[in-house]
Amino acid sequence: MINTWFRFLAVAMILGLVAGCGGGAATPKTDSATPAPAQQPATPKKTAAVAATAGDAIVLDPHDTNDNLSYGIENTIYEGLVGFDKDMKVIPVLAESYKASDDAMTFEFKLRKGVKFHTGEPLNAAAVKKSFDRVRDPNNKLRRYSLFGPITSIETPDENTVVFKLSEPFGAMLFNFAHPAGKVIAPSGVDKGKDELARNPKYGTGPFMFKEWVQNDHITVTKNPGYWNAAGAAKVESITFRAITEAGTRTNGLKAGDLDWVLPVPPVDAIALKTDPKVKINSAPSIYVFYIAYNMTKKPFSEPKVRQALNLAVDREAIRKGVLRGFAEPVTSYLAPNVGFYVKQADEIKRDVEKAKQLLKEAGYDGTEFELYSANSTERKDLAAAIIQQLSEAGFKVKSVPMDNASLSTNIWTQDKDHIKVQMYLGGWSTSTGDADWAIRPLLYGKQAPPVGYNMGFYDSPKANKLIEDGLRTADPAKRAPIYAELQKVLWEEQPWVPLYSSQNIWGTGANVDGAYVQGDGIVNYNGIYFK
Amino acid sequence: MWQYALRRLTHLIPILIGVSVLIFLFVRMIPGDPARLLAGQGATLQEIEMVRQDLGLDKKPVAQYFDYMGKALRGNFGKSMMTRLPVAKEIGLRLWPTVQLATVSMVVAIVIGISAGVVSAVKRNTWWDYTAMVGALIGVSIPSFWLALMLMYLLAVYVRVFPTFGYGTWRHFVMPAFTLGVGAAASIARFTRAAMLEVLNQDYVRTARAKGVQESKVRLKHALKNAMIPVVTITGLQFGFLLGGTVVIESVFQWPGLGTLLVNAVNGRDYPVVQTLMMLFALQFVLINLVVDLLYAVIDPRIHYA
Repeated sequence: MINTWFRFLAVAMILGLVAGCGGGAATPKTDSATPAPAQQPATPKKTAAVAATAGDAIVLDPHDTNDNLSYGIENTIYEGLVGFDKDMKVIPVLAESYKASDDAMTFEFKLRKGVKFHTGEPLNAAAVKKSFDRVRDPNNKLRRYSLFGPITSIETPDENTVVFKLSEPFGAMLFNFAHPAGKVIAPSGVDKGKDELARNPKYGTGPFMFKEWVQNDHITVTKNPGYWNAAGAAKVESITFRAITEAGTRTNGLKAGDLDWVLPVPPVDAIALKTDPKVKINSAPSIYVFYIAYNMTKKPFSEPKVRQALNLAVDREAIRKGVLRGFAEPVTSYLAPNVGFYVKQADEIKRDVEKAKQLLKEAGYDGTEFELYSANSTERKDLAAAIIQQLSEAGFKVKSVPMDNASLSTNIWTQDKDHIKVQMYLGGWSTSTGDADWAIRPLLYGKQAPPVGYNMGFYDSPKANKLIEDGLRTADPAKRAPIYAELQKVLWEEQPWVPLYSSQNIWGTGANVDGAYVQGDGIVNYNGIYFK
Repeated sequence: MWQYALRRLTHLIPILIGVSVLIFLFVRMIPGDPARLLAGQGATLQEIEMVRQDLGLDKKPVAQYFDYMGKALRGNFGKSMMTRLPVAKEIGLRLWPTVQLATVSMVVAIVIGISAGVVSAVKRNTWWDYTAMVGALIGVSIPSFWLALMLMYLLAVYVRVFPTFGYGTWRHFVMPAFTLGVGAAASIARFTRAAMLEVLNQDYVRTARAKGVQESKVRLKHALKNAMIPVVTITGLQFGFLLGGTVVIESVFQWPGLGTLLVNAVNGRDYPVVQTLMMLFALQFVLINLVVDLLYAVIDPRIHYA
């Protein structure tokens, strides 16, 4: 009798071989990640860029997207009437020019002529109307509906003019048009509907055209030969976006040359990679502000002295240099410096433990323990731990309560003024429209307290509320500027938060790669990527 | 035996129904609102409500359950809430890479594990034994995450032999399969050693030797075959776990498997995906257990199933 063990072994090995090789033909090959030959005799310049993203895109329908990663990929394929430049300033894209009425209720765009969608359809007023009619129709249940919900009618007086009418003054509307969700989708795509647009984004006007999306593996876009803007045309033949969740793998891929462009790079890896000649580490200020919000309706945080003590107890410099390894900017207002209408209020608040202790004593804080809610990523937990340590030195008793996003959001949104669950919350926010209004209103407007909005501390200041409302009554920057200057002053005085720092985006590239960059809002602009 | 197998398979029906009810309850009991998550930061209440209706989550839970099961019985497991792809497709795309990796890793584990176990039992208390058992201890203790990144650094960055990540050719299998295989090999080795030692002291082994059977035949035929029962059990269990996808290794090597799908689905509270995956895992475990039980009879003819 043949030995069972050998039979078993043989069967196992055959199984293994079949499993290992059999799938080859049917499954996608990942050529980009196979090792290059050891010796490369004067390789021709690369024309296919490989960029790593921290995960797979969710859907590639701009009107139904709400994550930065997907927006970055969509930005290579789709374009809006207006968009953002490197410094988050609004610039014309598919519109040649635009104007807003004084009452901020009518917005008129003149379209660029001769632009064609990837499908061959011409870009005209009717196409623009159709695209925006899609996103603003509540029956379509698109995730970015509210950005365009205020539009009541869209008129097309001629082939190249589109006029949007709003139901009420909305001074920040131009920024909503520049938002990555304000993309124009070709009429044939709108007709095909949500499922098609989610997976097959073939209906844009951008410098790249969609080629394929292999779930959880990669997305490839190729150069659009008929792009309307010679100056902005693609400099590479294709970009492949690879979904790599593990930071260590992204770092190794960059070192090995399998990846040309990587975002995000953790601060620790960034410091290690700085000495590698094959890699270039870049960083730029974001428009994120990190903060602790606390419940303003209840003692002790309703007491200004306690809020002041909290603000003095935190050592912001130590957090920036220690926890974030220097990849952070000091906070000098409730707006990040790159957001329009930013006005510096003061230097970063310096730590003063003695004064904090004194203030706490005067306020009569009884040593009650508070829970600090935050997300449960390693970075966020480390940050919370550092802050809690600093607060305890001033006499505060705080406990960290990290949670996954889903649980966290349930805790936040099942509360209201009479049922407070979250006493302190550690988070970060960026204004996705790039405008000052969206940086402040969702977080600090009295009418945006949970369960409606994100005003975690139930801050309800008559002064701030009025200024927030005033800021939306006009689209004229000259009139809005003094309003937001005053608003920042009020916030700085009333201290509804412990502002902590403004983060930096860190990305790594091969030493021979340039042209792509990360916007302040964390969305990547890949369009200009090239090899030196 | 076939009748027995058939009877066991009919047990699947109540098991799967039970699993479906439990999972349905569990995913809804954990905090987190998929509509809120999908609508994203900055969404208005109106938008969230729109998403909820779109997902059908505004219906009563009982109605949702029967809706899901009714369709599932006809092979339609619904659409992923996050990606809008049919769940069957979402899982189908990743099932094969997972099965491939699990199988190759198991082969690595079996070859290393059983060889090491047999050697250390036969050469008990020699340095062969100590090396194998210290190796097994390291294999169990080493975090797969660390091993994976070290291998990657060594074999993909430092010496460019294998690709850093990805899926597609045999080269892509080497590092992930080795990482997973080493962990599983360690426990297989320990089980093999223990079982072998027990068997090697049995009378029939002495008898075999006494009647002059070759020593290698004694060890492999008389001893190992009889020591296989616990080893097959542990191997089956390990295989079951590997088939559930391995989150860490999948994310390190960007392997398009079921593990990352499950984690993403749980984080996003993607109910249809979580439910369907759990039922698939239950099915896999039941089938593997059945195969293991049937293997007992193959290994040991004294075991009969009627």
